[in-house]
Amino acid sequence: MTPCCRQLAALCALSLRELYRRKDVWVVFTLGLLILAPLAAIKPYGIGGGSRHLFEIAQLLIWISAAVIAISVAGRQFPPEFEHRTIYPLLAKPVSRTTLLAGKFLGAWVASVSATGCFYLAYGLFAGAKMGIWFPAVFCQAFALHVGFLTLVTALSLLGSFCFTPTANLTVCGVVVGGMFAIGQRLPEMTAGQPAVIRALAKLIYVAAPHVEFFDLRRRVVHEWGPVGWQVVAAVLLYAVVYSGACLLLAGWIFRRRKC
Amino acid sequence: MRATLQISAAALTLVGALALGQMLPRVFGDRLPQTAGTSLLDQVLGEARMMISDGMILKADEYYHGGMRVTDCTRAEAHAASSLDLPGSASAHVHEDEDEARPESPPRDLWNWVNTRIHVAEHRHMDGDQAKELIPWYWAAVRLEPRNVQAYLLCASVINHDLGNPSEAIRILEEGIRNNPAVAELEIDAGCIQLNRLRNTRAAQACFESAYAKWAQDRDAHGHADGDLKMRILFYLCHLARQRDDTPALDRYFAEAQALGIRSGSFTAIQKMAEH
Repeated sequence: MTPCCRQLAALCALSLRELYRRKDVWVVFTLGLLILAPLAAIKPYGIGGGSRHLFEIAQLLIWISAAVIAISVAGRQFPPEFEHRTIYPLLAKPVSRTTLLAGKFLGAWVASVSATGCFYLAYGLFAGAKMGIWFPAVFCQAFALHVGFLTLVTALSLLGSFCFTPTANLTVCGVVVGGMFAIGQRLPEMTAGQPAVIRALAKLIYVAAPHVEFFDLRRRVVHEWGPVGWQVVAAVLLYAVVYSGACLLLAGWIFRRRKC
Repeated sequence: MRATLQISAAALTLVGALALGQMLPRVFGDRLPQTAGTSLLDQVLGEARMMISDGMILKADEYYHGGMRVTDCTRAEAHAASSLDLPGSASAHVHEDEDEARPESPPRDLWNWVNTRIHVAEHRHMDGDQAKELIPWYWAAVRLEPRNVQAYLLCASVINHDLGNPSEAIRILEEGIRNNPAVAELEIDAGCIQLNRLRNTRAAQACFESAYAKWAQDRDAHGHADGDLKMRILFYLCHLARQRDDTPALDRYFAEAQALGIRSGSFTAIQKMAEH
């Protein structure tokens, strides 16, 4: 193992340990159970067997929790290091800024993906037990795309942590991700009747902002639609990798210019 | 001494506050912002209850279309043609070729092109036993807003038509009637189920007569009433009168239908029954 890989692995393990030590995942897990268990017990008008509403709520909880975990974990990587001045001994060691950034990104990414993996595993078991279909192809695609979403959001939050204060970063990332999720695809048609300046601004946002809605396969999973073509999944994952790469390059540039 | 005085003053103030708390509702009654017996949901959500309840009906409609909103659907024009696009209705529309919904032309807007491939672009309809997935949303809609008549009607329709349980549908409509005693539509649907599914003409007659009385009450209270609704009631009353060979009643209902001045399919059917 090269020293660079060892450093990356150490930084990665640190982020992973931090996430599970903070017990955020367990809180989210318990909250999900507290919401879903009573709902699963209800038989409206004595008619049982309806489960899509449970799957939909479970998927929504997974998406919200995963986004919050990814944004907060990535956003927490650098600010405390600067605040407690622990960045100096880190950089004094033979750890380059690029390695440090890559390690912090990988750490936050692995932490959020592992937490989301736990949620998906629980969901898969729950849905399998209810419907008798275990981990269908569309479910695996949904997880793969969710990982793509986490890659993008982690890189975005890491970039934000160099530009804003931690609270502002959390808010800005939340607004961008939530906004694009809700109206990302409808931006051009929503602003069609507006003045040219607003239309141009909306077009700019539409082209440049992260299209997180590409990663959302909830409707297909919940309503048992067939899987998406694998080429499309690969293209969307490539989009996530390229966008995240751009965010990380920008973050690296800001980090290098920053006087520690 | 001073401490005792302070404690006494505090105790007296507390007693005064408690006495006022007991007295105010008795003195001012309904003029207070919250009246006694207001439910927690009413206090928290207010008039938004009906909007959220309607949203749940829309959600059920989405489920019926495989998770798609009809307005988002690329074949929405097929739906627009049918004003009775209710889950469980026998007139569910059919699409010739759903695959046409996906645009195959080269992408002008790359993001939109990717989006249509990732997300479901067409819709499908639930059938038979699958309709049980709609029930939780209707149930939640009527729990949230018991005055949502549409939720009761749709829920009963799904349970009756798709799940084949007319007795449970009647029970739900009765619950709706208890919560909305002035609404004739619930009585009409209950009468239809009694007549067509349970073959209980006596109960059906009672339902339609009750609906007729409610329609008349509504007209007297508001000065105007829904003519189409009365025509529907008269249609069923005529049908039952004809079944028991009650010619005077049939003539009376026909005269009332004529007086409405609505020349609809129901009127033509009533006319035919009266002529026979």
